[in-house]
Amino acid sequence: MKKILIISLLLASSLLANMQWADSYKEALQSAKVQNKIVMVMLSRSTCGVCEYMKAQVFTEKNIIKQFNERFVGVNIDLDFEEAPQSLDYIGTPTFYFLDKDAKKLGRISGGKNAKSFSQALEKIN
Amino acid sequence: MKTILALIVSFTMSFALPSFLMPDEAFIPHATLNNTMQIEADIQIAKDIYLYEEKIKFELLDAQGISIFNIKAPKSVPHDGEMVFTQSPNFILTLQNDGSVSGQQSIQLKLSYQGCSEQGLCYEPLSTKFTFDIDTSKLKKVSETTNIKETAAKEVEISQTDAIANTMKDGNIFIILLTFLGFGLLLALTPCVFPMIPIISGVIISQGEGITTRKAFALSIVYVLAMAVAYTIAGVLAGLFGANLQAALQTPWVIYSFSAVFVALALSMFGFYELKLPDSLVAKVSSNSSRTGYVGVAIMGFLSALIVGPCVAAPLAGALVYIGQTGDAVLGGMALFSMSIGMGLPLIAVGVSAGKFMPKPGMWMTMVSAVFGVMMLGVAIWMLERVVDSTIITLLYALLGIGFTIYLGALENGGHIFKKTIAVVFFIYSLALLLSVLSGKPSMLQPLSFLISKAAPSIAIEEKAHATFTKVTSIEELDILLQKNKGKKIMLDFYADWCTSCKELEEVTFTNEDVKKEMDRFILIQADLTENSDDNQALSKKYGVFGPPAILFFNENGDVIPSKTTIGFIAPKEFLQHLNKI
Repeated sequence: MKKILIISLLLASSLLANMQWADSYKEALQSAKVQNKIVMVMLSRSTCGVCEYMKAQVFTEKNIIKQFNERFVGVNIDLDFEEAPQSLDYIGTPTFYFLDKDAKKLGRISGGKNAKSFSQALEKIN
Repeated sequence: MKTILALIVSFTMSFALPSFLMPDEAFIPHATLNNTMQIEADIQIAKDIYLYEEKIKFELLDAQGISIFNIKAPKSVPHDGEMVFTQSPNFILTLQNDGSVSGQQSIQLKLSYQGCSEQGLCYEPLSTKFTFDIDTSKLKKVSETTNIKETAAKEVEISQTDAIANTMKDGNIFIILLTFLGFGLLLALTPCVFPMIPIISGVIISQGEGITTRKAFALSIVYVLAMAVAYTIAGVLAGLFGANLQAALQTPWVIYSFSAVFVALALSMFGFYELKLPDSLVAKVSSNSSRTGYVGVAIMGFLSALIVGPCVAAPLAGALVYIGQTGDAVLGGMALFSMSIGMGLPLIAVGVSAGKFMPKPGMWMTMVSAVFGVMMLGVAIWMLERVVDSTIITLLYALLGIGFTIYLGALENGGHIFKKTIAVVFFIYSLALLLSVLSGKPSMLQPLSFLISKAAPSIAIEEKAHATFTKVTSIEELDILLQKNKGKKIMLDFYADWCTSCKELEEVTFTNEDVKKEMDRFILIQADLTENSDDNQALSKKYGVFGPPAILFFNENGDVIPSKTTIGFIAPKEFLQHLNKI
């Protein structure tokens, strides 16, 4: 049953052809629990050009979307409106934190990367 | 050792710790005070770091009575659609004292900035505070209302009007006055002043024969001074009340009255009667006979400035904008006075020469009087243009032209070839005007255009393919259109039937094929101020328009782009260049 759910979710997400973003940090952890995925917290600001680049150029890339949706669920925290959760510190934006379903840190990417490097970085997160 | 290495490797691997500089390494801000109490600030940026121009802000904290007057900033460069500094930028801040503080004063300067690394990280917004002891006696004392945006740490593009307003903000009084004298001289070369030439000449000639050069000179001076006083008062009032003076002076009854005055003057030129103040009044005003006429001349100068002068030209509007902004009525008044003196210098020359060539009376004199009489009738019609339908105006011009040229002998045999040629040319032109009225398409510039449009209907069809102006008369109507066209560039033309320059714009500039093509990029809206109603006035006031023609441009967000505003007539070629830059 669980498998069917996962498969259908995967199918759905691949059909949507969008990266899977949760609406809030809480929701992201919830989804991670249900789907057994890793949470990617993106810390961004509206004034950050690199963040715009990531959203517009990298996160629209087919391969990235596929690779991401297989194992990750994302949540975007706009620091202009909310504070970064708990102990996620940063010197700038974008900063990506990878957390397991219990919010334990698994890794971090500071700054933006092009699609290829970002894909390689995602690969290393376990 | 091995474990430490493993730790480091795993650390860098799993956390992919970046090679990014820490913020305090990436940006190192400095600020120092120089001898002239200017603050010299810079932000040293590391390699591959850039700063957003619009995120750099200077703010004074705890600085009672001291504010930032001006910020000199380097040029920024475009970077992914944003304007940024890729080299460490230097700024020079000039401070001003509103006059309420003296002696030493401690101030705090807050410098905020934000930037990114080319490696793909945008740093958090940062700010640093600096403390300075300011010797307030060395500061510029400027009126408190000089509202320079302290956030504008960039070289702002400025329009012609702003350039003039800025001259006044930056320069010292002597330079300001000299500049305005220059503006005035330039203004004297525009058609705005032409109607004054017959008036001044007429006034001097009406003094009668035997007028000395000295008296002609004195009369001209009086005339020009009175004119200057009128402008000065208008300027100061505009500063004090921010009211649309020009509009007030263009209410129909004022225009009718003055038009009537000119007709009366013209009739006296034709010799129907002699125009002078009642003897008793003259005696009261002056017992000295040599001063006769000065008061009359002064009144004429004053009135002609009010009525004839304010065809909106950039310098006048610039001065009024400045006065309106600052409320510095004294400086504004002085500037306008010096501008009108500049405007009056050529008039003085005209007045003097009119006096000089007067001494021998005869047939020749009657002729000159007649010419001036006709010119005054022309001025009367020209003034009516603002309130009377264009068909009637063109008809009046046509009749005046025909009458005058017949008087000159256009239809008679004989006469001097030179005089005859001019008379015949004007006669034909006047006839053309009459024909254009009869054809139902009155036009001063292309009176025979009705022939063309009949012969070549294809042109009319082509014209329809271009965007046309949507007319609005109130703020509400405009707001609806602005709302509807959000996301598009908008061109807003302030127009009125009584505005000669507006018509020139319509007939010359807006009909130019290249301009039309370029204008198609914009949503075209025309604010019609013909009625000069309360709604009309509120509309002009909202956008700071002193009088038509003025063209404003709105960006996609529906905001006015102040630097792109044009005032007055603008030729097709220049307008095209202007459009290209938007």
